[in-house]
Amino acid sequence: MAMDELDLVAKSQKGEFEAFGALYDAYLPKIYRFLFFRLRHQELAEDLTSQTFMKALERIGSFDASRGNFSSWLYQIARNSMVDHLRANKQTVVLEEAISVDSGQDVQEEAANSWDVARVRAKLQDLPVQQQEVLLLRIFEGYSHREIAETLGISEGASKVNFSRAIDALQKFLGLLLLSFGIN
Amino acid sequence: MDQNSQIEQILRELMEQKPELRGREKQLRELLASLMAARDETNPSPAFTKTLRGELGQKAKNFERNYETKPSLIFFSMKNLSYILGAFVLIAIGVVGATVYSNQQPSLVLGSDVEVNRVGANAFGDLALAVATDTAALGRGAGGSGAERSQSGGGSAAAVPSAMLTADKSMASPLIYPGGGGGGMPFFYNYKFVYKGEPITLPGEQSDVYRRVKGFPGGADLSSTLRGLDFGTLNLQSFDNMQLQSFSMLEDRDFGYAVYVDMQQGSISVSENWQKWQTPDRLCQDDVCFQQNRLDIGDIPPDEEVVAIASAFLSQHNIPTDNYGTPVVQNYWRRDYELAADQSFMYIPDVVTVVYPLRINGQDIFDESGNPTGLGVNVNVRVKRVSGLWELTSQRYDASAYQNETDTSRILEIAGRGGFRNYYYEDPSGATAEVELGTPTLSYVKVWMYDEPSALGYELLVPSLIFPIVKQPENGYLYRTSVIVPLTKEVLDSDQDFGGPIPMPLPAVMEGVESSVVVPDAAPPVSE
Repeated sequence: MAMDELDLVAKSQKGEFEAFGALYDAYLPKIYRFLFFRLRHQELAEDLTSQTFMKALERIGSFDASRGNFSSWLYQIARNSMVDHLRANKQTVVLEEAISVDSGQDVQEEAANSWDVARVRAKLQDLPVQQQEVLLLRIFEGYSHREIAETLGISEGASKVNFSRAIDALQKFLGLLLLSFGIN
Repeated sequence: MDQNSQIEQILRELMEQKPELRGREKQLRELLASLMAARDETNPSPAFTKTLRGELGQKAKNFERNYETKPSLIFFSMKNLSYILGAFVLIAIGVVGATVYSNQQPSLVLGSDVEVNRVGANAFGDLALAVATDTAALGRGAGGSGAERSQSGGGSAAAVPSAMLTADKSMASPLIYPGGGGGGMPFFYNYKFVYKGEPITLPGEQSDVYRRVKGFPGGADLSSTLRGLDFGTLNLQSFDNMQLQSFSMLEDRDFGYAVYVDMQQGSISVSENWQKWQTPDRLCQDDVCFQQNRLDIGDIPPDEEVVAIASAFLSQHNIPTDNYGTPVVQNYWRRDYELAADQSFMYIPDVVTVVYPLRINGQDIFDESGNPTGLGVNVNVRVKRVSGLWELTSQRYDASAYQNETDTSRILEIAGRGGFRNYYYEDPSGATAEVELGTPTLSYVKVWMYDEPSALGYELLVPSLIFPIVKQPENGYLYRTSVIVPLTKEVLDSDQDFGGPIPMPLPAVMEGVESSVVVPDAAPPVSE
């Protein structure tokens, strides 16, 4: 954890909201994206993001830097908030509709656009949870595998393997999609 | 790291891990680019960001209330200053003692480098509300930083026009001041600002607003050290979460200094240790003595000498000036002096202020009056020594994008009123003097905002157009060289209820002074 972040955490623990505000600024987009990509629901992601930061503010005094980094701690709160919510509500997470191809569209163009955002997002939902998380942190947040390992509490090797498997799965999906258009 | 570099790095990692992927780089690049493209659409909305920040701030405030320790007001209301000084010394002894006791040197580095940390858009909340609240609630005028200076203990009359220093003598002088004058000439001038520049070019729809990050790096360590102190009659350890907010140390020698360190604001100021600055004029008990010790214009050293004294002081005390521009002497009083019909009446100040203009990213920073602002140094010309220093602050900033005003006509309309927060008086019976404004430059202006959740004041650097005054009125004189119009829309909106002329109040009748003001029967309506 960077010294600046440690300093901000220490100040936050002493009641300096300005410091906590800086942590909030740094982590809000990350936590929100983390939740949104798992839930695919804006309001739900916002609710759980709010819960995450409220809990973090309440519990910041109990955070122990010697037992892990702040990032990991915060993601853990976000993950637990999400799991608690899903258990309590027993809801099926809203997923985007299955990919549908407009038969009127040009096949070549469809193939070229086969990696558009909607398809990627939909496919991400099919990946195992840990692969989603690793992919999200590596691609969206630009974390190194070491940082991902610290954040998710896994080994660096496990992070690499999960990432590689996620890419494999998405590539296979691409292959199947191209085949469906008769392209090899 | 840009997107392409990130993609290439990920590709290298994948190839190292799984060489069989070679040959499929093109598809992998497309896949990774698509994944990255998905990121941009999933940021939390600005409204949600702002609302949650406010809620967290309120929650934090509630925490503070629960844990608040009430300082003894009796301590601060003691009239005998020696008690206060004694207390400061006690704190200073405590700091030193605790340091020696723990055999550690707390690392308190304010830092001189400008550091900018980019945060999300609109991260400082609603600036219209914050800036307006600041002005209304704290009663700050266009000068801006009065509260900061009084807090830092290094206050100065630097920004005060010398017309205020001339006091009642100016009333009998033929000199013409804004809002004052005499000698049979018009008593009051209304100023009309006329734009004479080129068509204005505005920047994009958004620009960064900077907010200085307060606090003192390493302050927590010193607080932690001091928390262990036991005074025998009181044990600091018996309190919870004690934080050092400030401390002051006195230099015990002739013409010694008081150094005030504000941990909360992240600022240091230096002032006279007044007990050790006993110049003859300060011992005067009657007017004869005062007159004998009045300064003459010949006592004022050339600007170069004043700057040299200030710069030598900064150098002696390792105060870096890398982030500041060429120092300037604020000498508005000289114009008054030169225009005065009877110069013997003019008060010659014994303190001359040197300003080292702050520069961030190569741009000068201005105050709300359009004057360069930055590190201030007072030089006492009687003894040719530095007598004060202020605005030595940390230079760490958060930068957040805010919407700009894009309506040129609105900007020119505000410039025509004399700029942002130009609370000037208007008297229909007074003469009107025309002030010409030239083509503006884009720079940053320091304004104050009040942050509701944290109940703290902050310095904002707001992108603004600086309209130079290219032609002063022939008879009147404005104590400014430019007119400021902020570009940040929310900041500009905060001025809606305040901008424009204010009806001249009824003048107080001064004994022995005959006013030439014709007071209208009823105050004119406030112009929109």
